[in-house]
Amino acid sequence: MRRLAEIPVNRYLDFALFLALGLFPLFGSLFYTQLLEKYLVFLIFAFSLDLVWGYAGLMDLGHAVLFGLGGYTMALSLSAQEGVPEFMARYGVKQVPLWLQWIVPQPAAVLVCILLPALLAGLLGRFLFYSRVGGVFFSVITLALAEIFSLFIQSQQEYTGGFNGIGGLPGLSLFGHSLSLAEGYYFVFLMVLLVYIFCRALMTSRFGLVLRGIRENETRLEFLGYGQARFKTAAFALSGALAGFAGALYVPVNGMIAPNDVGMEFSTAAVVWLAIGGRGNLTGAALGTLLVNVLGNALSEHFGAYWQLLLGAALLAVVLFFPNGIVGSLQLAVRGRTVRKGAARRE
Amino acid sequence: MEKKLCVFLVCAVLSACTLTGCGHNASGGSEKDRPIKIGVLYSLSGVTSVSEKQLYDGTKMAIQKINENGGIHGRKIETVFADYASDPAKAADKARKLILDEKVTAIIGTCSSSARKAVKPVVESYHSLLIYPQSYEGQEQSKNIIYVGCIPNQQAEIFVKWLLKNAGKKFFLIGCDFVYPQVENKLAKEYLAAGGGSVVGEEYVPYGSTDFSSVLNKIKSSNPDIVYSELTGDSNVAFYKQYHAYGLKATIASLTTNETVLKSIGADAGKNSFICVDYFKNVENPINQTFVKKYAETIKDGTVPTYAAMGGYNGGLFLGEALRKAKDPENTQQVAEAFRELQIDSPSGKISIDGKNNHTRLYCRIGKVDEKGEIHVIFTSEKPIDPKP
Repeated sequence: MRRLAEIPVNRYLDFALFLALGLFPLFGSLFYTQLLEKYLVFLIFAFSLDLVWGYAGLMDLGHAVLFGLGGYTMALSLSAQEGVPEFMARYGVKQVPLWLQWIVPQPAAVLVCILLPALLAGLLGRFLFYSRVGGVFFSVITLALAEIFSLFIQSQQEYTGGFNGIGGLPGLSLFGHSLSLAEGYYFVFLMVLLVYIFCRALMTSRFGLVLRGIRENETRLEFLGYGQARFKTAAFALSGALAGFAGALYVPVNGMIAPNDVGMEFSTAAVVWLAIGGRGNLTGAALGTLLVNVLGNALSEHFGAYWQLLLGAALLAVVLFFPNGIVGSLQLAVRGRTVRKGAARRE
Repeated sequence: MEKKLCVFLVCAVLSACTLTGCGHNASGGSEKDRPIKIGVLYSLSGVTSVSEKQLYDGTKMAIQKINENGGIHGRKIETVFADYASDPAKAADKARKLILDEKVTAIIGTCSSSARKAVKPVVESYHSLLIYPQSYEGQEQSKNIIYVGCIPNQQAEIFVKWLLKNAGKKFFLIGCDFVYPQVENKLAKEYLAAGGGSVVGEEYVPYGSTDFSSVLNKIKSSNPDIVYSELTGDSNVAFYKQYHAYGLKATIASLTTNETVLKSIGADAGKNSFICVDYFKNVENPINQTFVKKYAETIKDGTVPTYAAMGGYNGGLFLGEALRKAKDPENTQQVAEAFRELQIDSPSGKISIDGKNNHTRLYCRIGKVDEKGEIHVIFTSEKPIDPKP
């Protein structure tokens, strides 16, 4: 009994969440299963942001750039499966460009989707963290990056579809066999589980411990011989790889990608998910993502023009009254109760 | 802390209750008086909400009119609204929801080409029907989409010819940096080459940009007769104002300005410019006079009907006619068939659907802005123009 009580509260929540997600297609309607499949992809993205913000304490306001790099790579690859895509042909592109030919085979595309964002994050880390750029400056730089990236995508119309994005893409397929909705859902679900286990393992490892140490007290950790820049850069690059992977999954699940999915708006949306759910324990990321998206969807159906205002009010309320997010506050409350019980027993 | 937790839980439970509470009310009754469900898909939030509000208002008025006049063979039209917050991916989600969960017969909506392109594969894969109310760049056809707005050969081609004859030969092309302006300008160049005009400059600004100082310098140094613009939203308003403040004299000719935009621009900056669309508030015919009056009574937000509102209205009227014509108004296939060569008496004139390409035969009108900021219709095409997408 006591051993059960020692398991942190968020682990129960994780279990409940994953159970619910795993069972959903059995009961949920076609439409909601499809919608939830997309939110599952968002979970991977939220986990990747939790690595940098929750564990390393770096608030990345341009995380969607990494997501978008993966997403656009996959979208280009899928659109070029049968020769020059329509949006390129419109600008007089007659032949599939060489760089695009390389990523037409799916395995190559997936690899690039993961490596390219990791490389960008690694490079950014190399320049920012080694010059001791952190805190709010890191946030501002990443925010600017998000805006630049989205403008860049919009201006390169012949290669990115510009403002309209790249659409009409085929759904998920494995080894040439295209997956049905249920198969696709469980495939994405499996990926989410794997990413979750990977993140959990990583964060309980020595690497994760050092990372959290740096978040709490950088000077002390450096005094002990752990270079902050090295660890932060590694964490950022890993997070980039995961974000890129999420982007690569998003495109076939969603059928399209547009500048909205890669800019400031989506970056800050992810920050909001984590702020509401709670940071640094993955559970918060998962709960926040699902809650905000499901709630946003429900609100938009019932409150027309005002739903974003209501969502904003809810966000304000959470930040004001539960600054640690829902899961963080829950943990504190449960811990408070056990401490009090222990004290009572001693008396 | 525990108290806070309690408060939070109570809040969560309450919000969950309200959300489920206002769920669907079962539409019972026999088939004869059960309402016909259609989806209405616009953004009343997000960056395109200003123009989509006009589309939405137009559609709302059309459905209201149909229901007031006895509905479809006695059955009311019930609209299911969905807001997609100017996000194309969300537009696709919502379209899926309207088709799969709400089981609507057809959807009327979307504004930008990006949203339409996102919804297109959805309506195609579920064999549903989208009525698209906005003017756009053409070059698209789908048997699952009815295009109600005008396309370049019904607008730009005539406009450029008219400008060459009446206003000048040297054109400076400007637009926001996305597909619609790029395609329009590409076509404008073709029309100009054919009509003996010339292009002295071409500029694109990022969507939503409001700083035109460098563009204005370029316009000044290239000395055009006409500044031909497809700027939209905030960029459009800012451009007119800065252009006026800078004191440039070439005439602005726009494909995207309307009465609402003109109000934000102001009469000073807007005067003497030309606009070419399929409908203006000041179109003179009895149907339009009644419509404008009705609009003022229904939409009490101080706006007047624009070509966008008219697109939404025409879309609604067409859909109503098609539902009436179809044997079973809940059979999307039959409704889609009913759209072929369908004709309506709209405030913008007698217009009809071209069965060959699902686009609409529309009038082309050119307006000139006077000192008071009113648009005078100075040119109307003799008959509705066949769409060539």
